[in-house]
Amino acid sequence: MTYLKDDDQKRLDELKAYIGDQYKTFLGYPCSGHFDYTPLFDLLQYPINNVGDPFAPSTYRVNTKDFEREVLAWFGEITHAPPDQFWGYVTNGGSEGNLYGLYLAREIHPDGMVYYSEDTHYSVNKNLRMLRIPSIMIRSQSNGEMDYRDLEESIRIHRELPPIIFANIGTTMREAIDDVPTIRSILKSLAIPRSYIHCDAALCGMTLPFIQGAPDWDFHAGIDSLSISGHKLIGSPIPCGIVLARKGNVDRIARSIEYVGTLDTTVTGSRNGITPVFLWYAIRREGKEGFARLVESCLETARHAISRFAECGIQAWRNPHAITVVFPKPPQCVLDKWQIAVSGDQAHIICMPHVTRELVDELARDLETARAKGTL
Amino acid sequence: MKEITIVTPLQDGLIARVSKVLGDAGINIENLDAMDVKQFSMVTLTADRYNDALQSLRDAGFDALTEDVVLIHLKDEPGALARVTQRLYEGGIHVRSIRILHRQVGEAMVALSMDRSQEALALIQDLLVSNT
Repeated sequence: MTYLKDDDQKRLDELKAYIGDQYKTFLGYPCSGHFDYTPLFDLLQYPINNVGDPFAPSTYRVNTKDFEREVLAWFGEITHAPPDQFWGYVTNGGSEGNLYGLYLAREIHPDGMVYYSEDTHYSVNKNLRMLRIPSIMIRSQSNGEMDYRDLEESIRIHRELPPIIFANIGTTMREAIDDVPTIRSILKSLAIPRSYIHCDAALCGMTLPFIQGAPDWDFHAGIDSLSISGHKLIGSPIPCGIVLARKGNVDRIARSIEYVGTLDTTVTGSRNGITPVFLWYAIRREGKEGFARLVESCLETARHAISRFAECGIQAWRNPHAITVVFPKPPQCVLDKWQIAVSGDQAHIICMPHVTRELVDELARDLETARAKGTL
Repeated sequence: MKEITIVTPLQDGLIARVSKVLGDAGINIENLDAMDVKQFSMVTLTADRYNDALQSLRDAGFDALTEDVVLIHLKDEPGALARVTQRLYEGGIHVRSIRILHRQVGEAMVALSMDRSQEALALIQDLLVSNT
């Protein structure tokens, strides 16, 4: 075995220490650190590649497609996808799933117009530009949810163009949920004959299925495709996610790729085969009951954060069913210590599984101190 | 010389803050003009190192816009943005992106990325911030 030079080894050691240190104050981003995949590390010695369509046979047999299909079936079940009538794959993250959903929508409705709210993730604008789809940004309500009057008026004005609705099932900053039944009723009331709804459920796609009384947002509500992140609530050291879509729509854009002897409609072609096994492992280990407990514990931490912040005189709030707690932007001294996401005059923490009550309490004390000094 | 435009909700001291950011980065301001448009403050400037100036201002959290975008202001009401896009589409103008920059007290400031031809600008002349 060849070893690294001392300087290079020192840099690696410093990197490990740095990452471990930064992780301790990681509160504002929707990525869980609550996972342990060490039993799977043996797999990292192989050039696994789930090239192309996970449902098609491949000549590249060093793959984990069986596990990937099981993962997709599980996500199909929790999002009420019609059995045997959906398709999907494990992506590199939520944004790739959104790109796929928009791509599918554009292929089905080449003359379509995309409607998305002000609070939509920045990557969607990038995707729209890549795909060259006309789009209209819709105003947001104060809680981050789409303004339905603006949506209705906008569709009415462009009613000759099939609407492609990009719905947020949990916006980035405030975890607001666009109301899919309301969107559907707008389309119905305007007698729109052709439309498409894609849901960006990066975070909430793994919380809402486990919350009693959560709004109807998935295939049961009539959507066409959805994207969920795997590295968010489930947790993964490598970003990943899933995209699911109605199979009839996907079949319309399938292309035969002779090169690997497979049918491929995925965005990337070569796809890593390790994250499907991470997801499979987490799903098998936790089960639906385990995730339900995990989500409830995140909600409990969010409730605790709001009451703890209130005790410190900090006005914090959250949307119904949200694990994101929004509060006024703290001063720089707090931002220097904690990794908290800031937008304008607001900030948030996301009560992911690794965020403990103790961490929330420590942040609350820092906010209280800043407030006492008059910097908040 | 290419211009940079900064848009914020109405506020005092914007010029001082912009000048400080650029000064700290060692960038010389060559021209600077400030004005208030309804509920918004705007600064338009040219600097000796355009790309560095743009990056420094964005790093400092400003909405710093290049000449590639057209700024318009609208009433903040349902369908307002859709009516603008309708005008442009009917005029055969391709809009690359539309971004709501700020909304304040019934007014919205919007950045359009589109063809800047005379024909395109004429279609939205009544909304252009530069005509305010």
